[in-house]
Amino acid sequence: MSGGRKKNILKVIILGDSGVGKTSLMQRYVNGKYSQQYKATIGADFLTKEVTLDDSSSHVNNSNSNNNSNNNFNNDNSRTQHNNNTSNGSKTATLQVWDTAGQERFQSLGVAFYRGADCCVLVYDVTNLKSFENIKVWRDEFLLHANVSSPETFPFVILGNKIDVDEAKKVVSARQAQDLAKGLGDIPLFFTSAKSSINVDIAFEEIARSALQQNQLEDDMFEDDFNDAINIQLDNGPSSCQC
Amino acid sequence: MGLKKSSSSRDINQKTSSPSLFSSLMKSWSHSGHSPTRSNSKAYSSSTTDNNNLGYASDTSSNDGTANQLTRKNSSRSGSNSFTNVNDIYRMTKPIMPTNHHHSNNHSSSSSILLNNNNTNTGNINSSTIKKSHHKFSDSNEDWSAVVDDYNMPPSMDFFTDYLSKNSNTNMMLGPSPVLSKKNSGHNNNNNNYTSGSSSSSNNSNNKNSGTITYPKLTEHNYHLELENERELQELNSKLTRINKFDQILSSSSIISLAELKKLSWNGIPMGHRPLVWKLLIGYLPANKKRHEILIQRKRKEYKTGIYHIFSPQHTRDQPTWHQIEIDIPRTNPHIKLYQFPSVQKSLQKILYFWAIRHPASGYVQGINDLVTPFFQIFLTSYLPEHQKAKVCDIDPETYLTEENFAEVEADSFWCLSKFLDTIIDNYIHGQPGIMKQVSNLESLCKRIDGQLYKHLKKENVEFVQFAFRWMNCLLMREVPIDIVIRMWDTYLSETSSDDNDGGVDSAGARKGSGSSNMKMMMNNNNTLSDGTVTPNGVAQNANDLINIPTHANESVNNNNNTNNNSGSNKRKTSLSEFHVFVCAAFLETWSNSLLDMDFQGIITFLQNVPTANWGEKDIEILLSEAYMWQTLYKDATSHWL
Repeated sequence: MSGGRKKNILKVIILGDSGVGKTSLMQRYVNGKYSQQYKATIGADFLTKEVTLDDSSSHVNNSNSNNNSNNNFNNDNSRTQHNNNTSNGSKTATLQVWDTAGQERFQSLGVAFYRGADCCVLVYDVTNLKSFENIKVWRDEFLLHANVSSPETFPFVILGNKIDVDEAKKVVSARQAQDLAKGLGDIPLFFTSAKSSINVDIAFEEIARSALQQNQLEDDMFEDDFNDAINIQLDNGPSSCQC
Repeated sequence: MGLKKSSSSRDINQKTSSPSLFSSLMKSWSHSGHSPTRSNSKAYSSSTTDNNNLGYASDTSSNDGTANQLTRKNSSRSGSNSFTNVNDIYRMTKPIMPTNHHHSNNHSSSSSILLNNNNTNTGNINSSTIKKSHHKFSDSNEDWSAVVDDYNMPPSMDFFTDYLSKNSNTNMMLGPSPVLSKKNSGHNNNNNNYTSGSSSSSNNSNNKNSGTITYPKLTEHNYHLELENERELQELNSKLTRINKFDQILSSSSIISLAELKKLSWNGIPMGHRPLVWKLLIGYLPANKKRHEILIQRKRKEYKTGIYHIFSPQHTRDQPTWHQIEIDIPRTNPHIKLYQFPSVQKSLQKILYFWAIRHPASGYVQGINDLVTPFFQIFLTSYLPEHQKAKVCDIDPETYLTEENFAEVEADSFWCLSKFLDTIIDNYIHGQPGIMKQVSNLESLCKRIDGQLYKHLKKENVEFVQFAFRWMNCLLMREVPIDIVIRMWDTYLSETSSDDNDGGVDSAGARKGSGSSNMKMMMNNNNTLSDGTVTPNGVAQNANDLINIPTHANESVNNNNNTNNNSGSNKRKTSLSEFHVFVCAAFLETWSNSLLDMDFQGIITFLQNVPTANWGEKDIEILLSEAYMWQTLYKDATSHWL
């Protein structure tokens, strides 16, 4: 690892209906805490976290072993191609997470926050069927506004939040969720609880990994082409890595 | 009030100084429950005589931290040396000294009683008198009589002890209650309510020749406290004056002069007057006092009927709206106790749902839950006794409100919220065009005001919408504490209230001097340009609104018509959206230096958590004054605004 290597900045967007726990998840992940006292997000909140990613585990299956959602993450055949410039062990990056407002009225804001994203997290509340049904809506909304280069391969992650509640309150079954995730293109799915800190770190690890992958993919596509006006640092091209 | 000031910077001082005085006074009352200055009593008692001269200096520095430091630096010196210092300090501080000019002698004496209160624990201090210190000053070949007149001289210590022995319950005379003074229309009478001014002066003269002056040792710490003391006295005086001015306006005749009221309210409204004044400024209550009772009963009944209707079985609940409000209510001001009480949550839910149902063009939008809280909270205070008003956030209203009272607070909050939102409804309709325009206006304003910051933000790829969206959507309520928001709204409501048919021109002219005519032109221009389109500036209300003809369910679509109507008139009208952009610009500018050192991540993180937790009213008042100044300076710029 040469000292000259710059940090990756990975931009992540969290979407989902109002009240599903987007802010709580992000706070749990970034600050390791949970509170009942978050105000409703207006526009979007911004948080960052430094992450260290083990490159060799770009295939996330191993780190995912204790994930009770039991999903496949085999869709990373494209990832191995990009390991050449990160082959020297772990890699640090900064996650810039935009936690958006859930109310529909704020969707006109989308473009200001979605652009340049490396990964999109879709959150629903396992006690709220409507929020689950809206996962697809949110995904389409994102693809519509984010202007991503290849919508088919753009990484999403689905989080079913609030699994700490009584079984009786859950209205979205794991089965339904898995079907949906599969139907949308084998999107990684995690059942989380920001309150009880279940699966949050694991989920965000996957999110970071997907984002890094996407970031490098974009990087290769636009290599030496032009400087992106968005806040992605395109500094991992071959020229900048002489180690 | 006070001296005529011409330059804009002085104007700012004038604006920023006095209002804050009142509320911090109120705060100190509420915190101590006794004397606002009692905790400082020791410091004062040990230092009064030693530093007569410095005491004057501290007077002049009442509004300025720098001067304060200067005087403190000098406080270690003693005797004649310090005279020159004092003179220097006096010269230095004079230009920034804001509101002392209108202190009458009566006020001085009421302040002496306060001092008195501070010296509860001291009996053995040698005294000096006003006269004596006056002589001291004349030694220095300066005309200090003006100083004595202008700045309240501490009275003799003997008087304090005398007085205290006669009046054991000193708290009584502090009576924070503006209600006390309400009975008097002339504001020079007010000291009778609080103190006995005549006894104070006679005591002073009795003590004129008493004792020799000794100089107790003064620590820097104590000296600092003394300065605080002096400042608090002045603030108190200024607040009393303001309270009386409000009393005068509100009680002088059957028709309340809204222009006067606006002018005065711009600088802050005393807590006791706020519920009524807000209702007047926003146009919920008419200027004609005789109609108040009838109208308010009618509006409250209308609200009650409406509520009954939408919660009757005939009404199909709008589930998505209801659900959205339901999940937002517990998230409304979650750190304030008041908003956790079930009774309050129930009321807010009703108000917001009713509003949403009546305004289908926008419906409920997150952030409106924030905007209702200042009204609710302020209207609650009218049901609290004077000494508890400041604690409104800690007391469950169920303990002091009847069901009927609750309905009244709800109704008043609802109607005022409606009035308020009418002026900014473009912020909440589909696509939120009002906010988008404001954000882009903020951007162009920033470019003009602070090109360096603007360039830096651009360089770091910061988009204004990324941080300013919330500023517009919640009117900065998320960025500053609630008591600061409330103070801010005093100005907002008086800056933009609808009194066009009662002399809006007068009020603009009176407060703004020569600038107003230009601004009027500008606004006309603006309205003409926007003729026929929906504009964020289209906040004019129909003349009817002032006398408060009951509003109807189509309020939300009136905007366009009002704009058209207004374009033909000659009245100046500042829209809330417009002024708010200037306030946001001032807010952004406040952090300019810090932001210039930050990268994208730092900037966004900072602007999402702006460090305002310790802001006092002075901070927001500086901001408002700056905003006002820029609004005047950049008026031409705004005529090009969308």
